[in-house]
Amino acid sequence: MKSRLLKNCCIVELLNCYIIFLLWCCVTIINLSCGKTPQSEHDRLFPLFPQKGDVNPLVPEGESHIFPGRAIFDYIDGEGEIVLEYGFRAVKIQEYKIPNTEESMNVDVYAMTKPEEAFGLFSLYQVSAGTPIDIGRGGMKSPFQLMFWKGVYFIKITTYHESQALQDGMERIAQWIAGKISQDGEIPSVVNSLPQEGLDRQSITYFHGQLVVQSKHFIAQENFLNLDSTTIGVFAHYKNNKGPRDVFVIWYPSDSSAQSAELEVQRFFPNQSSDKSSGFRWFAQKEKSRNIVCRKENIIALFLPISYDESSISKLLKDFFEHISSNANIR
Amino acid sequence: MGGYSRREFIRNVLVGSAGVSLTGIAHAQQSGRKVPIIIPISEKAVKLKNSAYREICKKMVDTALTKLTGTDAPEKAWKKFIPSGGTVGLKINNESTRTDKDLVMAIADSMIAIGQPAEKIIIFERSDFDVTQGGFQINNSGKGVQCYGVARAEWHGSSAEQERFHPKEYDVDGHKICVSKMVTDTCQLIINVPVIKKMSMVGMSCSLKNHFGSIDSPYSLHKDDLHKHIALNAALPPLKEKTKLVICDGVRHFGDQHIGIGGIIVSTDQVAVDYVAAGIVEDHIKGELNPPARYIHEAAKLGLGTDKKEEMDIQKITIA
Repeated sequence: MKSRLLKNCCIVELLNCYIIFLLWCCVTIINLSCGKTPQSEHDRLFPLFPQKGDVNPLVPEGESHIFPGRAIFDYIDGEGEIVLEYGFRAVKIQEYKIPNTEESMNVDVYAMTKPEEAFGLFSLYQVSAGTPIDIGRGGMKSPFQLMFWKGVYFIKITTYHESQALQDGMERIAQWIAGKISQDGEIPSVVNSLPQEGLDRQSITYFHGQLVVQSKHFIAQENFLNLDSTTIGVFAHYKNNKGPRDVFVIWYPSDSSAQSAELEVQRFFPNQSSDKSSGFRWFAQKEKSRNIVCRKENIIALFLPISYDESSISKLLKDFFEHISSNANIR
Repeated sequence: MGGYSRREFIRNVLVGSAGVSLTGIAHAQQSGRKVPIIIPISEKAVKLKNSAYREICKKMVDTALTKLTGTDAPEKAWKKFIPSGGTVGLKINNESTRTDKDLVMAIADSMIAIGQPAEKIIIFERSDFDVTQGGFQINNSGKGVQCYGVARAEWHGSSAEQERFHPKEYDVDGHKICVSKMVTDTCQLIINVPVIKKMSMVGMSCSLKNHFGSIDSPYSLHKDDLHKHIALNAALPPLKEKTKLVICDGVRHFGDQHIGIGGIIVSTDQVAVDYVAAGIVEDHIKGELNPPARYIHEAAKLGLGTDKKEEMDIQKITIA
């Protein structure tokens, strides 16, 4: 009797162990089939990318790649230096293809620290990028490239094929991604502070560093404006003949840092004349068509060149600074 | 010659009549050796696809080479470049751009047609990953035209596969650089097959910068004086001695990242090719390069070629 009871207990225990083991196997299988490996820290920076079926006929080709921080050089080599002048965090790239063809496109999504930085990168590349297109907070399109910005993201889509399917596909992918970004972002107020008459809006570039200055209007290899991540600059090209042709406006964190930069700039503007009577300090480089540098408080402006006679420069500068000071909401 | 800018000069070349040889001034120079730069252009090419496109690219290559060498047949022209039994490397550029695969294969076709074994033609870029970016298929089987990277793995600023680079270290302005064995050992002739693209750091990029993909640590050269480093790198003995021909891909136009003129630019002078390319970029952007491509003059100072238009004999040829 006792032995039978004992035997029954052992069987029950064995059965219990077996059931527990089976249950454990089931739970493990369910976890492995439903769960995904945790997203990498960098992947979380990005909005969703279209998957198969989201933007037909385009399908993702191969895996996406992420290049964070200085790893940007692995992707775009030396061009990474200019991207790093903005608040860059990482770029994620994914190729899309039309199945059974060689037609493909590359989608690059740049994750920046702030919307102003996303706008900045967009403004840097938009100049020769084609015609405006209504995507995100602003977009440009050409036959082989589409770019836009929204929130903290700058998106660039590039193709080396001309088919209509790809042209349509670029726009549809762009709209799809834009729809996944909830934040809009605002254009920096300094951009809207520029005088509007004669302004080529497509030329406007928001920047911080020297490489952007060199790429817009080369004056010197040196960082003669003492630019860094604390300086905020805007470049614009004016088309009419009444005012300056190229303009740089830079806001410094303090009057003293602007003053230091002003001293540095003087070295690059020989044959100077200046006029303190108007309340500004400015330096003119040439006789009739002048490159002029002017400082007021924490702002330095460069006009490259101005075709004005000397008597009207002071009024021009006064009007200019009044306009930008009253319209820029900075710091 | 006063006031005749590079952009205007190149513009006149591109819109000028076929067969016209243009020098820096309107009348012919009477003395001095001039570097020939041959630009075959085909309006029809950009409308074609696949095999028809590849055929017309081959015609451009054959025409350019015979004109460049003053010979009457591609076989005679290629013999001036390809050493007997030698391996030819085609250095393409797929970084932030795409060298046209059909044009590259047309160059290979042209060599194969005159008897060069396909296995002794190697299309290469920085890594296997970079090669495949332009639609090229990796082929290191030893059969057919070979196609693979200087290094196997994708790069990260500098290659970790040091065994693929010659151990000799060169000093490039204080930076230690090794040249890939593809250049030093494997190939006896390097043909530089760059694209013309706009570039923020130095204004533009073409043949002289293409060899950043042939060394182990290009990233170190991007710091500080990039203009000087581009020139110094191109002047490294293995690169300078083996790069005897430039066939610049300028056929199709894809915007700033691949500027096209409907043709190719062929010369033995990389500096002159980049001078012409700079004019093409300036014509594309309708203005001067910012920053100016000072590396071209740096390379000329090192004796790599000429950046003086009066020393160039640029010949545009229309291909029907």
